[in-house]
Amino acid sequence: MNPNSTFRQDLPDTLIDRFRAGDLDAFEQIYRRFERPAFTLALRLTGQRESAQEVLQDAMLKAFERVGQFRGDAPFWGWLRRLVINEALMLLRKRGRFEDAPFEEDAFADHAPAPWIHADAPTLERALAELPDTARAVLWLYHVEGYTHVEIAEQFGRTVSFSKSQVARGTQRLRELLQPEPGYSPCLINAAGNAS
Amino acid sequence: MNMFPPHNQHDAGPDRLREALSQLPEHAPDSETWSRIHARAVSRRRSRRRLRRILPLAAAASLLLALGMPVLHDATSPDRAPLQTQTHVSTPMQNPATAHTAMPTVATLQHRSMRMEQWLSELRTHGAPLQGIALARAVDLQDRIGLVDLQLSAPGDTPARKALWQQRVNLLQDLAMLRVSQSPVSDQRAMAESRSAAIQL
Repeated sequence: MNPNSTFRQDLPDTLIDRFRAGDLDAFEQIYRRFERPAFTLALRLTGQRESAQEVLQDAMLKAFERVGQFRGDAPFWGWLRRLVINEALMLLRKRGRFEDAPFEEDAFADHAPAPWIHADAPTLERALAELPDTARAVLWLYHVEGYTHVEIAEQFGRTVSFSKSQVARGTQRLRELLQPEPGYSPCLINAAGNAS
Repeated sequence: MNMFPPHNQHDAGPDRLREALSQLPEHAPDSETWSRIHARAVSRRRSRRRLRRILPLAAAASLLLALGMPVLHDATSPDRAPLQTQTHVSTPMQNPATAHTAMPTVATLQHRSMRMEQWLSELRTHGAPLQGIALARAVDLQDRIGLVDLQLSAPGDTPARKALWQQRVNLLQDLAMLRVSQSPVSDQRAMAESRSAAIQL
């Protein structure tokens, strides 16, 4: 999982107990703790702010209504993160069916450039938002949330090959989006930005 | 000129992409998101509570209607007045068609009261303990039954005693209704069966 994510928070048992009892103050405390990581995850998966808002609301309400199903044998944040991911994937399903593609073995070929190491955050975010929904979601789950191809395949109800191909496609598309066009130098832009 | 710096093989690997994506900043939702979630949570909770109240009551009412139409008829008539003609003691329960024309005597009402008590005893055995408002209501009904019993223990003429026995039956019905409505719908079948058994007595 993303080491920079603030999702990984352990909650006091008393807070979870109050949340289980339907205490709205406890609900707000939990919301405040997780609003940013949950929203960010929803945003990365859906690619749209409005959709992420919707996912955040639905996931939080589901947490409130189904907290009785949280057994406590795993961290609360992991349970909540799963709710957010499920809601986001459900929304993507509503938008249209997940596209499939043949698996491309050479997506991470040694010769392939890695423009993301030079891209600033806004540029990388824009490129990420331009990826097809499925590719972006799979790429994020695989690289950042630490899901395996098998787990992703289960989440999407598809094969492991589907997950691998989406990672490959997403990576390739991201590379194309970040690759400087001939005669265009992103370093000059960066240099100008740094100088100002 | 392309100013893009050269990269080594490691740069191209998935670890660098993972690192780049992981370092993207977090974003905050709109500031009014919580108020929307809060409003929806409160609204859904109200709906659930309403359903929790209405469903068992509806189920209990259906149950009593199905199994005890004559008794309910007594309970819903103006000042729960006695009916017109008397038939055999067990007939009003077993044959709703004749119940509407039956006028209960003191003996009938005493028998009905006894059967209601037997059924209530079954309900107490099978049902969950009452809590909160339901418990307070049950205690109130039991107090009123006790008051009726006190009045019945004093001498009185037949019409007065009949009215008191009718009142006792009605209070027992209310108590039974309360018991059934506070039980999970899944338990109400068992309660109905126990009531049927009580009726056969």
